[in-house]
Amino acid sequence: MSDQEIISLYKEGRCEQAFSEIVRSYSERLYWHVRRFVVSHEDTDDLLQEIFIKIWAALPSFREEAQLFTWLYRIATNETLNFLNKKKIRAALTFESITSELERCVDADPYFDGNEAERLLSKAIARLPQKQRTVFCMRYYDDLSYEQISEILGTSVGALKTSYHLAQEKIRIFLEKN
Amino acid sequence: MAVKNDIFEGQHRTPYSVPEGYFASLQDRLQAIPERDRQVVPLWVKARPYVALAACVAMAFVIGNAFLGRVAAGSADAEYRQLISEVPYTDPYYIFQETEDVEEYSQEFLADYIIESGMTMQELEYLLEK
Repeated sequence: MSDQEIISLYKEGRCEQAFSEIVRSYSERLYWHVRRFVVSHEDTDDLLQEIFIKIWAALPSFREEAQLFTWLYRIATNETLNFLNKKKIRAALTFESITSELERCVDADPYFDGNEAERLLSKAIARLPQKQRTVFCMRYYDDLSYEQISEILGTSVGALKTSYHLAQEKIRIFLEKN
Repeated sequence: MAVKNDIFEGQHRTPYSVPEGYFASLQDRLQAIPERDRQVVPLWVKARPYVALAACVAMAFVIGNAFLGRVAAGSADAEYRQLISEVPYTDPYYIFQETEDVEEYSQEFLADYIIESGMTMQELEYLLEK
């Protein structure tokens, strides 16, 4: 079902059916979107539950100023970044770095099925600052346009292009060293 | 490792997998969210925390009132001296002594406390550096 059809269902008052279609159309896409940030399958699964609970709660307040796709990705991205911020605070208290933890997750993840180059790339991405990692993953893996990312994150296209370029450079340097 | 120029070009594969049948079970779990939300909570369960709070306030009021009434009722001097003698006095010297019974807070407790306080990452980093 297309986004327009889902919105029509919701406008007709069939919220549960609209939510059901959102789950069918977006659960897998949002899973991968979140997974690229948090790496761990278990954390992603927990987060996804929270995200869809938020989506269900926020559905009555959905306005068509944004596209459904943008709105869903915005909720998912915000929840994921909140989760990572909490993880960062917990890591800071033990004087550990969340970057190290994410890199460890890449190595320890039983569901990692990439080759060595992909493993290095995943680690390079884990080392990026949060903003650059967010932009890079959305552009590189989700293949979103800068305009779409701008709508989701509320950042200008120019700033996004700069973030992406800086992320690319850092990844290149890391891969060359390793 | 030589970095190929095409690493940022073309289709990009996410190098992770999921347990077999995961997405089917995921959808089933997510579809259950509206149903869970619909479960009716009895009114008395909803009101329980407020009733408990009201009971605490009422008890504090009754006890405080009885205590203050007793103090005001009798002889001011004698009762005052009696009251003062019952208040434990601690020599300031001992206040700063360390005791062995120090409660240790777990990292998890501290992390939850900091997160709920709304402290930002920048503030935390500043405090940790000091």
